[in-house]
Amino acid sequence: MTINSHPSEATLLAYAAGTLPAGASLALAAHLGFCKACRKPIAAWEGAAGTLLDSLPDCEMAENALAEAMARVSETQGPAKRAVPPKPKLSGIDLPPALLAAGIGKRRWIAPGIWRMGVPAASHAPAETYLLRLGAGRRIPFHGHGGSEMICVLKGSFSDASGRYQAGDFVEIDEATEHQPLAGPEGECICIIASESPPRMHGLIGWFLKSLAGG
Amino acid sequence: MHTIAHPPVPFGVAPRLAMSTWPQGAPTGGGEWPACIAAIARDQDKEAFALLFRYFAPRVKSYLMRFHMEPSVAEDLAQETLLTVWRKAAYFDPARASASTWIFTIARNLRVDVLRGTAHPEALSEDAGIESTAPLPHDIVLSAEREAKTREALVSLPNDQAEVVRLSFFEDKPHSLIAQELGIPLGTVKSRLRLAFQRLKSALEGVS
Repeated sequence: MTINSHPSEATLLAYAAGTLPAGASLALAAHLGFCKACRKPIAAWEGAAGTLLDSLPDCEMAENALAEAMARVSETQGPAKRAVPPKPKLSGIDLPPALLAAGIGKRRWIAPGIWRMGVPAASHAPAETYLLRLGAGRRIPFHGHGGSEMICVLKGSFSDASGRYQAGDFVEIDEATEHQPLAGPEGECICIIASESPPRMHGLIGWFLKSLAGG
Repeated sequence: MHTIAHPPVPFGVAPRLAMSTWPQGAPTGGGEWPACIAAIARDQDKEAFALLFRYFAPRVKSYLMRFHMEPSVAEDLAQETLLTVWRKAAYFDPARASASTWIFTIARNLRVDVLRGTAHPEALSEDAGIESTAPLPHDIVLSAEREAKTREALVSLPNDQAEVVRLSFFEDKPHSLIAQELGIPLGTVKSRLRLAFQRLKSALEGVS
């Protein structure tokens, strides 16, 4: 599978630094599940961070810190056993482990052929993170964005004026973008979407969708 | 018990480490740390742990303090970071990352977890790999070489690029805020990061 759309360098760096918001991190982690190429720059940035850690000035620990740590390691019996993570599927796709760990809310149908499932742990108003499913050939009405939005396609494809995006593609949308995404005719399209703030829907249908989707 | 006369000697099977024969303070290039971590994984070696703790805990605390954490919280998290090193020592893979880099990612993941209540996605994948066995000399050489190259590249960055890299790692600020504080457009922050990354990438070329 070819992946054509990747995160920007700045986004990869923020992920490596741990400063990318929770939702965007989940979307990016989903992309990394598809894209080995993007793991390289992250590893390089983490290497840089390790080097920077070495050069940080010491910040003195409490006097008994080491003794305390030694006491605590004595209680620890080697590495904890790994739990076998459950692998529930959604519409036949494996969900990224980080997304499963964060937890997914209930499915809510918001229009014919369209549902969303929230990720409450990564949705702190006004930011929201959710899975969105469009049935084959379904369209989201024309809308703008209250802030930046990061999308990873998990299944199927969608297209808008900027291009066509398939499973694994990562799309960064800025505040200025207005679009009307259309799911490919080949089948349903499922994406993980992390928005800084809710979409700005236009018109009455938009308002209606928004009132259904809210909360 | 074996003792090591001339560190860094992290090759092959790491011997048990005796504190008296180990350098205090900063190691040259971090070459000894993989052996320390291997000794923890294999023998639950407390002396090796003490060495790692003395060197890394104060640096991790310093890293955390940069995110405006309360000193007591930073202290606890630095402690927790090193305890994670103990618990997950068997998962450390020197072919993939240097000890400093691995410890940075542990500290970062804990910080993210505390800050937003959700784990950094990588916190979930770091156990997923196959347990590494004792590091091979080749791995350590690679990892040390990569680290040296990275260090060189970072040192050689022009100040304006170095500054945005530093702010990106050690301040919990989005790039838009960094741009605001430096009084430059967001695009400039991004292009400086891009240039910095190009340097890093070309420095690492040939070192896999």
